[in-house]
Amino acid sequence: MPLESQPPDRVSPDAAVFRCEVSGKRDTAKVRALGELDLGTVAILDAKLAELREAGFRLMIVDLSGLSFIDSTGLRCLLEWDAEARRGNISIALVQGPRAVQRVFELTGTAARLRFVDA
Amino acid sequence: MNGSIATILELSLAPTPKAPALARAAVSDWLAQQSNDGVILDVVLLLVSELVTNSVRHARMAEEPLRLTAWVGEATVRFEIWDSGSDGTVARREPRRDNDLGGFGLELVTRLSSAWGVERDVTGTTVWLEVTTAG
Repeated sequence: MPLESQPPDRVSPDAAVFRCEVSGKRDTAKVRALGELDLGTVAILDAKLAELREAGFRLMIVDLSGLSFIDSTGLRCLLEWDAEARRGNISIALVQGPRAVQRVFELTGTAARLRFVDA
Repeated sequence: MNGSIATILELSLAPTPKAPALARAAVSDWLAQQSNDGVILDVVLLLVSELVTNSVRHARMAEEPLRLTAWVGEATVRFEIWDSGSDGTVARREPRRDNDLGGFGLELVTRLSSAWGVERDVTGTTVWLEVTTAG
């Protein structure tokens, strides 16, 4: 089920800018999260992951390397998807983000709960 | 520099999901104008995001804008955010346990700020925090 690049989802330019780039191969979807993940943008990622799950992807790799910012709201979204994957028939893995992003996982002690893979 | 007047940032924010990003952008611009290079911008922006997110959630039934105030003290940067949400006042609202800084947001605030607190009065709720500046 090939997924070509899709039109970026954006919120208004005066708030956080965030978009997802999606690519797919067999039952694996890669979601590159770009920009700032917070209260104003978390719904974009949430909707994208829900859409990919509905489309039948079993492994979703969320690449955080293009994130410039994440706070506890973004963190909670990733943890909820991780929990959802454990309950259901799917897997979620993360590619590490930049230092400021990784620090949020480390400070909250959640890095060990999440599955990180290489890009 | 004795008697230097700290520049104050005062922001009024509609309590919408966009408020955290707008606040981060404003604080980032404001800090760039301060002669204070002792703060770690990443940390400050994370804390501001947590403060504002909490207030948006807290004020979700209210229409009054949030008020974010920031100023540079001698060895700290202080942020205060006020929202009109206040438990037990005229606003008829379902009591919720997550009205206050909670969970991971609170964890980040306690670990990254040097002090923080919550004050309530009849007009609303103020949450404040301070970040120590190096040197």
